Amino acid sequence: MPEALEHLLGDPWDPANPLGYAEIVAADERQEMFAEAEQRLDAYGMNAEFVPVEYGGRFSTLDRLARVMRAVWRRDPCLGLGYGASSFIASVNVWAAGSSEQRTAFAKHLLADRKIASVYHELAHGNDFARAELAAYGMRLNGRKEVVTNAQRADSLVIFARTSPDPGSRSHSQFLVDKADLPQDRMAYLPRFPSMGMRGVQLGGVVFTDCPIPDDAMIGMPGRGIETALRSFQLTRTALPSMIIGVLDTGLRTALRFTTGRRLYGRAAADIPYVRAIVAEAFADLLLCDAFCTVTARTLHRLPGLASVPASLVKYVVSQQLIDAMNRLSSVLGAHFYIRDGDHAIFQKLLRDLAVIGFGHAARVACLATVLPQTPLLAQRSWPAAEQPPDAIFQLGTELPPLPFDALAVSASGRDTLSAVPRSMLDETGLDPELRRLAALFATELRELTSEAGDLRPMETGVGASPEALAIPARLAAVLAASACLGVWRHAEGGFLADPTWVVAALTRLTARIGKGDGHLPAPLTRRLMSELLTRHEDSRGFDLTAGSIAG
Amino acid sequence: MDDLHKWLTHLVASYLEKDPDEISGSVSLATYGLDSVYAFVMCGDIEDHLDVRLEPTVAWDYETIDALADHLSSLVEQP
Repeated sequence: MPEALEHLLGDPWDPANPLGYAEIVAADERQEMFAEAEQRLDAYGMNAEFVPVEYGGRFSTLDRLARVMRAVWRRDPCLGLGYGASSFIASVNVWAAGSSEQRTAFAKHLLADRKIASVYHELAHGNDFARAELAAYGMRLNGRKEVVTNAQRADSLVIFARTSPDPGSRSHSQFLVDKADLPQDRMAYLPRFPSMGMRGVQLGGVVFTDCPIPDDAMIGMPGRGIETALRSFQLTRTALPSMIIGVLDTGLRTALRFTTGRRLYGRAAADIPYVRAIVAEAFADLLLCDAFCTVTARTLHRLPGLASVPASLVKYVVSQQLIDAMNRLSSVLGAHFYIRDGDHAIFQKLLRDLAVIGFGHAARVACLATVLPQTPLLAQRSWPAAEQPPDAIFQLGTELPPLPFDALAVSASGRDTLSAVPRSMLDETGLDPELRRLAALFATELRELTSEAGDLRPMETGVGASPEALAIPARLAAVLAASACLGVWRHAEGGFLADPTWVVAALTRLTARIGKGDGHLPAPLTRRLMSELLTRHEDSRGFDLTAGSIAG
Repeated sequence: MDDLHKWLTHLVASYLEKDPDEISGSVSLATYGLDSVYAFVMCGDIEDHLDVRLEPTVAWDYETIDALADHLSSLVEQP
């Protein structure tokens, strides 16, 4: 559980904690992975979080997995990626398409604390992995992969390679190989790629020269590589942004520690209205990101065939919301945000490390381009009908069926129920008037999108899509995020989550994404959010939806 | 079958905003520049036209109009 991991890693602000921020920043300055923390994560059995329960691990639900990983990301994103997420990215291909033997072998590797690298990326092709060139004709690898996390220290590789020279979407496959099975002289490592952030992570590369691989290495059927990637990466596109929410938690904590201890212009910096507004808005951003991530993660369990749309759009929304919130918080820290030692030094590291979320594992615009061609069918088949989603996707902490990997689909085939939530709120009696006004804005937005997406010509939805056309999935993303917030609020059982404060703040923030507001929070809302935030800070509780106990 | 082939040719021509006479049934859709995501658009249009449910990847597996028309007619003709 997150609490157990928090306890094991200890209070990061405590200078006496050998796993605290002082040591994390020091490891980053040395451009090294933080070895002591990796040993502690081994002791916790972190990899078991990525192994489905039926294969002996602790992966029960995707929203739980992401919440556990926030404890790592809020301390050190290099650990989050270099210890955790990179093996998780490799694993989902295997759970989704591997044979029973491959899944069992993969689970065994992970449970033995081994690393598995996801070998996809070629600098020349970026997100356009349908044009990836590394070839595996006749079970021999030829070519190179670049900026691959843990390429050198991983024991096993999941490799995405071309298995047919033909254009089209059936010309690639994945392979699961143990390095021990490859001849040493046919594989060479590229030097580490220098990077702005994630400086401890081993971002390397690998070159294969006529390298034979075992006959049983292919994952799934020949030529299904793109389909497997599009299906299984719905998990990672959802869970990674969700884990990374932990970074904003620390960003907020840094800002609170800084502003409550500092006096400017004759009063505590925390009492300056501008500072309070920025901090409260960042808190609202964190909550809306968590709501969208959590609901999408639960959708993957409950409505897997519909998840391709929210899974891409959650990456689009959350990456930008987190980066923007951290940038605004940096203005609160003033000159202190770029000083690389002392009590606030963790902030500049987080800011650098966070940048990777904007382009790593699917760039933001690629996420929009994936959804755009689906929008005409959504507009035709689902949006006017307004069927409601099942309650379970909004009920935090309630049980879900195991993630049905077989049911993941590359396209939602025009099915979406989440976007129907704002309109359904308008039928509720006694609704907070401001919440009603906001829900109506998003219901209207969906109506406008229905007509605009319905008018798109197919040529406008392909690679040559205009910024105006790409605005359609971007606006849909805001509608889905608002729907997720409304659903979580409506199904909350009490306390802060059942209070309209946070959901009004979240939707107010989101109005800026559809051009129907400036996103700024009115003073009374800021006051209530600050009160909640300071209470949680005082009580050592997380700033996300569940507000669980943390170690400082 | 001929009707379906003709309809598919017109559909592809409409995506490409070209004249149907310029479209060959034996050339792969990818060669025409219809990349992976067009398949989903196409799948929806075919489903509506034939009133059937298809895998969204149907146009990945049957990559030419000829192959797709063959496959779809065999589906539709099943009792």
